Amino acid sequence: MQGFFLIFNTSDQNAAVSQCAALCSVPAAGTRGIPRGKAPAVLDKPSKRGYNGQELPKKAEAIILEQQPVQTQDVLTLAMDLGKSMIQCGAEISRVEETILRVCYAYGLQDTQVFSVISVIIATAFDKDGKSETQSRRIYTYATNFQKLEKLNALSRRIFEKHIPPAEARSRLDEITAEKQRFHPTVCLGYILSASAFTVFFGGSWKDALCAAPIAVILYLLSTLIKVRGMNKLFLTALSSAISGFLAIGFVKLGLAENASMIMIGDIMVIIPGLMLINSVREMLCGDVMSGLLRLLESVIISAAIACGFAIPILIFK
Amino acid sequence: MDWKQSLILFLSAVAGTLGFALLFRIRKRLVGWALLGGTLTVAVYIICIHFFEHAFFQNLLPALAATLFSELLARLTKSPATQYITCSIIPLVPGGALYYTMYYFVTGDMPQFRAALTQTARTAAGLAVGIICVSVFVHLLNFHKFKIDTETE
Repeated sequence: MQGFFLIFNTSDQNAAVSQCAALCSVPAAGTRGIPRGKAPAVLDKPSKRGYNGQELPKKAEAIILEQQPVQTQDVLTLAMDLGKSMIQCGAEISRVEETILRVCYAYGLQDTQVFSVISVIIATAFDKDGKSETQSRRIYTYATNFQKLEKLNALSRRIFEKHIPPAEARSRLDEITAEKQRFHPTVCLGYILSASAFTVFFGGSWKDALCAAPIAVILYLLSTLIKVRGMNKLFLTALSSAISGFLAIGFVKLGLAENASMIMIGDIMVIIPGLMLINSVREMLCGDVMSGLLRLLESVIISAAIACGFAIPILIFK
Repeated sequence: MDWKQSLILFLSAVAGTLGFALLFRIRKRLVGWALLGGTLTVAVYIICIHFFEHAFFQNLLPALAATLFSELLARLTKSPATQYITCSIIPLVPGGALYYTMYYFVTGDMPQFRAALTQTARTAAGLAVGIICVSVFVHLLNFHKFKIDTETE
């Protein structure tokens, strides 16, 4: 309780006490989503056990001492931007929702409602006066990027374990999301390696694997076009599928490879949303039916586009 | 399936895992761990195809193994388990089956379409159930830290 005594040493006692109330107290039982029967923490008896029996932020006192009132709006904006970046680099929906709730909680907003699917997040946070702040985010493009996800995860961990000031968290988030590089050599290498490996996995020869590599490079270059021009994703997928189908058949006609369908399946493994399908089933079984359904539909539509793209060269050269 | 075929299958699957680990831009010092997870999963998978006929069970056990290993790794390296799970199950993901399903649908070959669809659905269900069986219990262990209010009023 050292921090609690420190509060009373500050010059502006009343302000400090009222802010302490903001961080320690919860709304009366029975109102706004808090079920009856759970005893809220009482101010005159400073307990470390808060709402739902969870420990209150350890550095809450430190925030008060710095005399920086935390704005509901800033906190919610920070949490939502964090959640948006997490969805964009491939986090599960349940994880994103939990992160937003925990970030809001860490800064003293104890009642937050959040709903998210892969393309939108909506959240409302209530402050101690019962005033609410609602924000939403729309997500258009996403690409799996675990490096970024790990950084975001580390940041959110720092927020709800160490309670770093919102401004610091904000600047760190901007730093993480600032990266604008378009071409990544290692990603390109990943395309080549996985396309060649899956050509062999499905029964192709080493010649087929070699021929799958240049097609994978073309697929990667085409996939970067989405970000450049905001091109329609479905059309681009069908187009790149058709191009790689023609190339695969061309390589076999030139005598460089043996089996066109093996080259095709190797390259398909890189672009087909198989992982998205697994994740959609996972989400539906976990209770995020809405998000899972959207993901399932999207993966089916994208694979239909891929199938259409490959059907063109296959049917022409039948 | 003889041992030579199995070995080729194993090595190409591990190479594929490495490729996807790079494609998903996993942090460089974690690539080795992800590769280890992929190796384990493929090894379990190759054993499973000798014992089970049904695609659901062929994929359920590798997914269980992959998720257990990934959750352990996530605790050790303090990073999200998703990245390890994703990289580990990559060789089992029904990409080929999903493509053939849609291909037969587009070309109008209905008997083949039905067979491919069944295969895709069974594989996806097996993997998803395998992952969930483990992650539900891990979530239970984590749950005391932060409780989302899900009670109805």
